Amino acid sequence: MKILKSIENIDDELITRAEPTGQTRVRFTARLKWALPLAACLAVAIYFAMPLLNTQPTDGAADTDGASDILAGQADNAADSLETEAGTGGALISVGTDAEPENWQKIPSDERVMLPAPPLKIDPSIMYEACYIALEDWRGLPASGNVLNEKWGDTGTAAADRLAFTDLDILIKTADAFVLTANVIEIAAEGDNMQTALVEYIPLAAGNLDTSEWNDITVSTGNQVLIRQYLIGGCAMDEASNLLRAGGIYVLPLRFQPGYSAYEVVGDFDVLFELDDEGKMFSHSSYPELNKYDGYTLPEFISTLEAATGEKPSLRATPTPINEPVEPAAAASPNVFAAPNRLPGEPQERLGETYISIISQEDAYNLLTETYAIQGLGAVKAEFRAITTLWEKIDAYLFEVTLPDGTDEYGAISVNAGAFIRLNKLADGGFEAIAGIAAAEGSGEVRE
Amino acid sequence: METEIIDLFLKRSEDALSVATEKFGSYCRKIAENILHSGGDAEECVNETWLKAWNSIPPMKPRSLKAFLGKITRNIALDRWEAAHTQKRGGGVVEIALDELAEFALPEDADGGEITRVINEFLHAEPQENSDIFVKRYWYLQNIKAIAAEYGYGENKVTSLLFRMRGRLKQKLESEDIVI
Repeated sequence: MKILKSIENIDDELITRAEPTGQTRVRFTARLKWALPLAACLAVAIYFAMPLLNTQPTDGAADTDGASDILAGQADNAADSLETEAGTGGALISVGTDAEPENWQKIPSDERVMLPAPPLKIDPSIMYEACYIALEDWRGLPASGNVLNEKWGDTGTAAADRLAFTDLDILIKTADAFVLTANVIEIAAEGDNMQTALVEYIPLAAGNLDTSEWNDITVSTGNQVLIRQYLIGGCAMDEASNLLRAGGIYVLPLRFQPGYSAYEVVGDFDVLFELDDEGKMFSHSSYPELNKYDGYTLPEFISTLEAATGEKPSLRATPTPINEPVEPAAAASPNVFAAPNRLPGEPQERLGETYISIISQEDAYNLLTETYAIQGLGAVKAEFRAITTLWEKIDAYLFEVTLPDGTDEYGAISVNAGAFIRLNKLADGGFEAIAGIAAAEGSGEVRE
Repeated sequence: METEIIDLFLKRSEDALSVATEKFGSYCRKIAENILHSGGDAEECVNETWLKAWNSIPPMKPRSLKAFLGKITRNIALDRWEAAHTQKRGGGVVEIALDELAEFALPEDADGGEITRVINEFLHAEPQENSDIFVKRYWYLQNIKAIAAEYGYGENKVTSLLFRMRGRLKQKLESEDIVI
């Protein structure tokens, strides 16, 4: 109570400045940055889509391949995106990459698409700890043989986005962010030409996903995002296509799409960077500037992406590989929703009804000692040392641990989800995770 | 406007109370309601605030009347809350805030003015958004959900931000030998 009362007499300026407004705000920054290049790209798309918009049905009922739906949807979404940027009453869209005022067309606002709410919901109370095995050990699904650019080659029609996204640079410019999908948690089909995927992700480069809510729908959190896609590749949604698959691992350029109330994959008619079952990247693209990355390992591709983003933020969240797979530490505490050291694509099991976002020091101590016991390391002595930030991203309770055989080491329990980490202290004061995974090096900035 | 109201207080004009009520009544009521969760109790706190302000100005002449009245209201409301919860603890916002601040083991004889000075230094050194969120939480005793909504953040982000700020504040208090 004394601290609470001591805060009472802080400076007047601080008090008046922080007066609650009672208003709510939706974070929606980082959108204007892609407006200009997007306008140029979508202008080309709409130019080619216009004849189809005038001649094809848009409800998809009579379609056999879903093509018209996709094109209409894409074009409408293009209009919607641009209108959102330009305000109400329609958007001015440049036809051609050299924007000449006399070449601009007006897309009426009533043509924009506003899809119903996505069929899946993010639970914002769930936070996934970024505790994965080393990137080079990640494996996805078999991915070869499906080249998106060639899907409609024999129909003579061109997918709208297809003409716009031919290299990595335009994807970087157009996306809100690149992310690495660690787990496609759930997928829900919407009719026969669309799906929404709830995805656990790791932010990589070129911005971030900062649209957390839209129309009262949580569309992203720090590590979950809703991704909505139209189908290209058939109409059954169970064949090779551009749609995300459960168990798949992807590196995706994402952009918030207001009409979807979700994010979309930029250029997924042209490219879908996927990690295959042998740990190699596959672009699903016939464009040489995109498929030249086929065969890259995941770390190689991420490094390439990092270099290509130039002045943009580099890899912002390196997955934190821990030691070899162990029993979930959370088993020791029924209220913690996290399983550390899991494989990417492996769903986390919900171990209790309530997720504790910030666990107490006492809980951390119990969790730590019980987890050592679960791992067969016996009854350890643990002494709390500090709250620390490991690898500049994981807040953790740090303990000095003495094993029954007298060996000393450090153990940590992450504050957010109770993830368990065994550590050695380095000479420079930083920490490394035990078990010899090289990428686990990092500095632990200890706050005593 | 604030200067004019303060002048009314200084002149002992009873108009000071009616104008202050009109201008700052809802502000003070909201502070009290955040703490007490009772409209009736909050109203009593606000009425008591006017009385204390009347008895304090003069001799005091606050630089910011709004903050001055807010502090009085908060103080009265916390005292009421403390009196009502001496034997029983619940899950209200004050309890939760106190739990969050439990890591600050301040000795009973610690100099309150010195603590305030350190907190002021700390808050001025933080980015403005961080500082504002901290004040909303521990001065206005706003709940996390409301703060998150105000900034468009997730509740986890606000919780985590406050957690880190408390860690830094504790470090600063320790460096000044205030926290045990």
